Amino acid sequence: MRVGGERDHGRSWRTGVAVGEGVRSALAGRWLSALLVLLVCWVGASSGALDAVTVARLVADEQRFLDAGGSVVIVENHEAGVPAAGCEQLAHVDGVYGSAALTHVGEPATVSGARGGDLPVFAASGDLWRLLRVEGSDSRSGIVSAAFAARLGWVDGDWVQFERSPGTRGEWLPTSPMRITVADTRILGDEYTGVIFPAVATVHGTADACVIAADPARLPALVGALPAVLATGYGQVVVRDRLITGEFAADYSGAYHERPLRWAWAVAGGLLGMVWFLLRWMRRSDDALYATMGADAVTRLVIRGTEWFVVAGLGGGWAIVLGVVTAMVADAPFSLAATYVTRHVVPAPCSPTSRTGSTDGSGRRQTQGHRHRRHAQ
Amino acid sequence: MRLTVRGLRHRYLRHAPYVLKGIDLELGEGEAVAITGPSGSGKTTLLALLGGLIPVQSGKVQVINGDGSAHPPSAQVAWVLQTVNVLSDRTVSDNVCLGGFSRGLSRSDAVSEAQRWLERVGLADRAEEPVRVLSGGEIQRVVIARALVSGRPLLLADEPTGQLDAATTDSVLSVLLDRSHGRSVIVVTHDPEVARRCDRALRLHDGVLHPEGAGAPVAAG
Repeated sequence: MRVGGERDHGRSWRTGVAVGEGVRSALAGRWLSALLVLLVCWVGASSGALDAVTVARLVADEQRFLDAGGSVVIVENHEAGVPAAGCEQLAHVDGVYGSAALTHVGEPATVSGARGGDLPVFAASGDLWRLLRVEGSDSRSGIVSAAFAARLGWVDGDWVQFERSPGTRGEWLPTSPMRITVADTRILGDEYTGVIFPAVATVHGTADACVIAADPARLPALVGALPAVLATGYGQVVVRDRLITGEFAADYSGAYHERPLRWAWAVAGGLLGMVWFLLRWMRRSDDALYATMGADAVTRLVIRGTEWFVVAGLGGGWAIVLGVVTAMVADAPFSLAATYVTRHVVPAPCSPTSRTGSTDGSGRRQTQGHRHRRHAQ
Repeated sequence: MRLTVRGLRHRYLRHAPYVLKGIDLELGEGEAVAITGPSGSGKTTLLALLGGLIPVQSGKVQVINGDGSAHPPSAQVAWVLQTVNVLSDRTVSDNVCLGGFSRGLSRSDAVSEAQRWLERVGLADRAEEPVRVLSGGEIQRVVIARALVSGRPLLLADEPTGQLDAATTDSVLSVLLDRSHGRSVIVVTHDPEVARRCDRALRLHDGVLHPEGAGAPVAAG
């Protein structure tokens, strides 16, 4: 007896039929399948969310470190000063986020009606805007820190007419009113608390200091080259870290690469694998039945693989949603949460190391590649 | 189809005595044979050898088709066992379809075949119900339908009515021994009624098959 579609060659199952059998088996499993979906969801979401939160905290810590000047060096030459033009050109070197020459004018200024009396004044090269990551350069602007602005009662966008302090020549002072720009000046340090006028000419083409923010991975090489690049022929060029103490100087890259949760997906996968094999062992009579019904080992693998794919797919989908939401509730940014939760729920064959923004082997590396972009903006 | 068994011997341990000491058996197309015998006489072992579940140590087991070609038995037999051997979470139709899948049928063809045989065994109206809600006799009929859908010419049944009451036994045997399906059947049983309804009954004793006399003809259906 032969019906339509019967195969003449062999008696093996069709692949499509085996796949359909796996799908039906998963759907017919009801409570068991639902339990597996929940298990996959819980294991994937928890490991992914925990890792995402860990990485997010590392990123935030490193960001605070960088914002405080963690990848900033200051070059000085107390005898001869630092060439302002050479300092500005460093901004075009690959890996340098920004550089600016800064000079303490030496003569304070006053503002009529302002609190605080004499105000320290600094001149800076035009690249200070980029170094401070402030949008728009305006030659009629004076940059102040938020704390300094608060002390004087200024807000961003105020227009201020500076005046010569008694007993000073005031040759550095702009004669027309200046717009106040309030910016985060922490990377410059406390030495430059005052009013900074970018794009004001520096004394004899030299400045007191050159402040350079760079990719942490390239900083060691840059530090080695700076004494020669900014040499003036006499005096000693000194290169120092902006952060003198090691208060924030943790090895964020090392902490990122050595975090135990990096391998949580493997542990989770092993756990789920054990559960799956236990269930398969408990239901081995089903496999025996398939075998007596002509399903060879490959066919049974297709059936069970499809069944697992359905269960893991449903659980994994929910795990990504749950993991991302959980991580975001714990203050992880969406893109980071999505990336790391997905990496745990859908473990990629390559190691996490190769997928991260690792740079060189130096001790000062950035945890994430996207930080480079943020600095460069 | 014709089943030929010659000089079949089997023992479980190398130096143990033979359980089967030389089985000779001929089974013609559409013929039903009952094998009886005391517990431990080797009935199930014989069935497993005939179905290819355990390898033949000595002797020969062949299924010879109408064209004269000889085949090993494993791909030619379908099983009907005493214990429940179904996918209990799945529907009646899904279980019977497995037989069609073993023939390489597509799902739609297998469903058609399943429906046809479920009508024959009186379960067509329960095709979409889960097997777990069926009674023992109904499940055995599902298993028989699955074996028939598989298209395999030889049905091997091991105590197929061992856990059923008399009325249910009758309904199951009516399906299993229905000559109109054209399959040959070997039934291992303790039940004289089952043996009586087969074409022949053989008694396995001391490792050898002995005729118990021809059974009464079984009416179709």
